[in-house]
Amino acid sequence: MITSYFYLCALPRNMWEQNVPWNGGMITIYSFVADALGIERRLQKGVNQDNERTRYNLCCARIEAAVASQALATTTTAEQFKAALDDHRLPVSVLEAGYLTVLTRLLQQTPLEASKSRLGATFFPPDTIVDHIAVFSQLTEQAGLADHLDVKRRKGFFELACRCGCGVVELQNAFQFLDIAAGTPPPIASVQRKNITSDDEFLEEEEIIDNESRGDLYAILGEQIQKAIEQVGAGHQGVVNFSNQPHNVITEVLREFVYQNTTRATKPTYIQVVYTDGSRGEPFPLLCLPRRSKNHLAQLDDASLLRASLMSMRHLEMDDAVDMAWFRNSEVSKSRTLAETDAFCYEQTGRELRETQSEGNLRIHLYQTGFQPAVIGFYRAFVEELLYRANLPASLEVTPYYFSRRTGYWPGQSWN
Amino acid sequence: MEITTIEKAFVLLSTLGKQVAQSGKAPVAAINEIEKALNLRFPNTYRLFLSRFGAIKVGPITIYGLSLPVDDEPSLIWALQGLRSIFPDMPKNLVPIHPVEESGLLACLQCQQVEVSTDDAPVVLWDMRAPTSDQNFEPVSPNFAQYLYDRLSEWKYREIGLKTLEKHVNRFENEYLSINKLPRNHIWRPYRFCVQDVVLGLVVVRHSLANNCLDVDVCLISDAPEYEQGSGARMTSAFLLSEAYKCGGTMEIRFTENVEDGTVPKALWTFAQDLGIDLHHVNESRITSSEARQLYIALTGFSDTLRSQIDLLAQQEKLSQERACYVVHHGIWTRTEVESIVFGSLRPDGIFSGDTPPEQRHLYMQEIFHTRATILGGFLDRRLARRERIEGTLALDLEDDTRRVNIEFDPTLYAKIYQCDEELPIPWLESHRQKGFHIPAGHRLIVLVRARDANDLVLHLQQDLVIARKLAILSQQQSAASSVFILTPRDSQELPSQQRAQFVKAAEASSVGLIVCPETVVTLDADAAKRLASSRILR
Repeated sequence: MITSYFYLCALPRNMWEQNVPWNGGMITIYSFVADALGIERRLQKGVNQDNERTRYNLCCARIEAAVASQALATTTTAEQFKAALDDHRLPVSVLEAGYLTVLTRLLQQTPLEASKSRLGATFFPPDTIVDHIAVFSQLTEQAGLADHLDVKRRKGFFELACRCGCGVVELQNAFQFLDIAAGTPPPIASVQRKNITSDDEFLEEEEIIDNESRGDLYAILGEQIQKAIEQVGAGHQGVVNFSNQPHNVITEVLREFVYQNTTRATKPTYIQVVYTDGSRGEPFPLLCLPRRSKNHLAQLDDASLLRASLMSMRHLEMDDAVDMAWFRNSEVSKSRTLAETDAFCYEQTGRELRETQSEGNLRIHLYQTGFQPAVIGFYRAFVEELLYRANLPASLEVTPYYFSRRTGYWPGQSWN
Repeated sequence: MEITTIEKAFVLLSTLGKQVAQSGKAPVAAINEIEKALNLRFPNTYRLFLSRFGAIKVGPITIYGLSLPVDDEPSLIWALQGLRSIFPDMPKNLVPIHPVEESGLLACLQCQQVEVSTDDAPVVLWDMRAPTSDQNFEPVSPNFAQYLYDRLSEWKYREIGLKTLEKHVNRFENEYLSINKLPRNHIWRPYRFCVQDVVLGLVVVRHSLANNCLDVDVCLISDAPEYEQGSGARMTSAFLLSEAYKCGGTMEIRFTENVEDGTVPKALWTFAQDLGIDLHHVNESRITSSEARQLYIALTGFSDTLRSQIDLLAQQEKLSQERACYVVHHGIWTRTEVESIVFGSLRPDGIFSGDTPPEQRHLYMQEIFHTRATILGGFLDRRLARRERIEGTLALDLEDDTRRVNIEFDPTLYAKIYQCDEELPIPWLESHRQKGFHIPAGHRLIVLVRARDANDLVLHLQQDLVIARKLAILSQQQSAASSVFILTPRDSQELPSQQRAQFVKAAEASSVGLIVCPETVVTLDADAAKRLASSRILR
């Protein structure tokens, strides 16, 4: 039968205080923990709750993902607990679906106390463990649930974690198949396998996905755009749906169609942009920019370099590599249609680029994230800016950067 | 009994006063004479009507009878002569009494021959546009008295209803619409339900703060012949029940004196009766909260097993019945999706209410996971049901062109079981060898719904394949032929190509198909969060 399992994973104190190298990688949860705790405090004030909750989800997802990809080891005793840590494995204990029932009951019966003690949260830094155990014990006692097996297991594990100076992150798998007749062992083996398969094998294949499997995606989108252009040529409206296309495919394919083999700008062919939510963005200009020769582009070599991520708060690991984020996530990720988001990004980009006109030559390295309307909005404004400057010497260039698990960031074709 | 009804009808006619145009009393001799001429026996009530009124016109209603001049409306002789000249095959025992406005239908008495001792004469509707045959006569009333009373009271109720509605609409226009102000629940609010230019229902409702129920001041329901019988009552009762839930009261619905003289509208209680729900307080002008709940569930059309499960969970206070209905009527979930949630999730009420904050992350994520899986299953439901008609190079998209697919849900395997009375093409097949695969009519399609992201697929798809394989072997031994498939989101295409190929190979070897929905977990989760948020602000 399908059921839910909960994995309690203990993390040593230093992981809650800084980025820690671990099994050849890094455990980088501490900033997310600080953010998430800050959001919890702000949520109690009841201001801007939707945005705060969205960010809270992102932070928790990052914390959980960081732990789920580590080597884990089932532990029931203090010795096993310590041995696991010495072996660079995170100690783990498994709770069954009954834990969810316990949580539901506690939250119903004592909502205020449960909320104060962060019951139902999925991460507990070391400093909060002692208080949490005390309140959890008290609440389960009051509710008559102290003898529940999952309650006992959880208390036991938290006490072990406390003794070893660890905090706890709880993971959930809501679709675990339990073969009762065959007596399938607890599903922790799956979590252990997760670590083994996720790094090496997956990384080896990443390049193949980027270069081969996605090749057909380039071809498909290219074909759609070509057809749309032909339709425009025939006097009809050429429509392309950009939703669900990977952002690197969109960027590279659009670039192929933006340029003409001419030395001067030509009148653009506009294709209609539509999104899966049914909204229609402004048309995108194609076949309009002149291709610049290497000599013409040479003067961009001395241009100022600006490294920007496309959106803030999307890939926080980018933050070290960039000077700024082009869009603020809180302004882009609002409840509106995709076309409205596209329009917002287009207008903001246009405004920013116009401001750069008086500031000399500029090269932008754009570290992209996969939110299609932001990508489309950005490049529509960028093409229009290039059109405006088309008959002047090259002064503006964007080089998109895409993330690959194998090679890190790799550059796409420059737009100039 | 019949006399009582005819007396009620006559009282009603007298209260309408000048609005009734009557041709005047007909002498008994004249009535006998026409009976003799037609060789028919009029029912006693019709004879009474003829002798008291002759024939009448009231509002849009004309009741044929004896009037002068005989060759003009509303003379029965005029009507008979005209009809018999146009429709010579018209049965001789039919006596036209009422042309139903703009419908092409004619209400007729099915009279007995003179020599028959009884004067029983049911009223039937005759469709004059269709070729004459026995099937053209739809019984509409057991006798003339009932028919007359029903038509007159219907018209009276409609007049009162429309006047009351007009009053409410004018007030609503002035106090709310004209100044772009939204009304609160306790304010009378007029609503109109139409399909294109056909009005099926008009209501004015408010939440009664004093009684914590829904008050109804206007409830006019029409049954347009172009639509399925009872469509107006279905739509209006769905609205009233949903509104009763939305306003947060006890679900009780009370009707004012303006609605059918302070009773539950006939169209509503007869509709409830058709659904097997007896309303016991019709004359007290209210539908009690338990009756409303029963009616809401029956109206929503849940399967018997789902109804039992919802009842069970409601008894355990784990699920609100009316909330399960409301999410269907509000368009957030389909009935089959509700079935997946109710049987598959540990906290169905949490999903339907959507009020678990993300800070209670375990509960929230549990809801997101199950919502995601339900949405994924829903995509396949709709895709399987949709027919794709292609004529040459032209794809035809026809309205309501869907297959009748029976869908069940197995919570132990988290699987959907489809069965169709026609061949069922399987969409989105991963294996090239299986492209174009069809399930024969009557065979079962078992789909394990696995809304896993790429990481989870790596961990669990192998086990899912093992389960599917066992299921495939098991189903071969059963009488009903089945095919087993696993449904995943498009995230499976993010898996390393070698691994993907291995999964496809393993699936083929196990006689199991892989269906890859074009949606990703990210988009499913976005939809899930949206639906939870919509559920939260429903009321």
